[in-house]
Amino acid sequence: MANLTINGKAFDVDVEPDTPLLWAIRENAGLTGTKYGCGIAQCGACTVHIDGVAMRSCGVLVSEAVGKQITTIEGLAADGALHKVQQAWIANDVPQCGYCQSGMIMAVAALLKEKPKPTDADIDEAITNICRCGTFQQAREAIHAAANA
Amino acid sequence: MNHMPRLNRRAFVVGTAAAGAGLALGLDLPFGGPTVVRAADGSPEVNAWVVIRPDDTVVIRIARSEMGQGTLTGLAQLVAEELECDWSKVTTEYPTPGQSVARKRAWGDFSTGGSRGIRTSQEYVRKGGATARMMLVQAAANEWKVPVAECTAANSVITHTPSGKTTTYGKVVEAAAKLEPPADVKLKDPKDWKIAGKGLKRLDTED
Repeated sequence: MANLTINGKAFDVDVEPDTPLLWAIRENAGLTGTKYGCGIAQCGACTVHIDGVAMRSCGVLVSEAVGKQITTIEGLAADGALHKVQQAWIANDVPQCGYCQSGMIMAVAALLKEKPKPTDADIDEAITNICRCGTFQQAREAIHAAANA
Repeated sequence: MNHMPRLNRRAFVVGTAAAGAGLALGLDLPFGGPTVVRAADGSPEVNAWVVIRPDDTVVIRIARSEMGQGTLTGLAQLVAEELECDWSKVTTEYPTPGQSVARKRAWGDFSTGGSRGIRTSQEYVRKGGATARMMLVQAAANEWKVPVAECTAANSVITHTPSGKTTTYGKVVEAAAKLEPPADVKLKDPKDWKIAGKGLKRLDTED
């Protein structure tokens, strides 16, 4: 049994300590906005914030996340208002199929906290999420839009 | 229990198929034109691609599947460009594969894949829009009894330039739907496009 804090709420999850955090988020906490893509921390579909840092939750053990603040896409909006990255995503019609996008949005939200006005080079370096539909250019436009919002 | 009536109906349909065309034509003669095809809400089709409602709403038929790639909006833009309609009044609908078969593939290829949706149908959907526009303008010219060459269309409004008279697509669509489609349809030069090829807000996503 492990106690996780996800989006400010406590969850007692009955899993082995070496269970991937992604599993606990999806299966135990029931928060399915975070997606399973590759399972080897390469694609970024499962990105969440752990103590404010973007992490690929398939590669994080439940035991490593205990006692930390975990934020998923469901917890990104604050006080009923969508995060500015979410708003920019909608305004720029970024998603195609949408599967990778919650992870991408989480990665971008973390980037903008660190670098409020990222350059294209900053984006290339920090946002390595893989989008099979190829929405990278729309994502780039939306990142700049969110930075300037 | 339903077996016999169904058989009877089928026998009736098959048996009268040959006479059907003549019968339909006979029925149409008093009204002096071809049968108008109607959408489910009763609004007339100008052709397979374009339905216009009396309130000027334009329904553009989309024969490719939208899966987030934006084809639905892109194809609607191509039709709307040639139709010269008000983009804010455009909605879309999908014909079903069954309707496609029943209407002898009026919408062409129904397949979606390989980035072909727009590439391989852009010309005939533009022609669909242009044909509908010509019929709508012709209907207005007929009503005004003026040469069609003196009339122009923009933003769903038809104008008779010498007199300044105007009407809208929604007002002439019933008459336009009864006209024969023109044989010679010219498409706009892409450099004059105002709607097609532009990064407009998608029609299929929520605000």
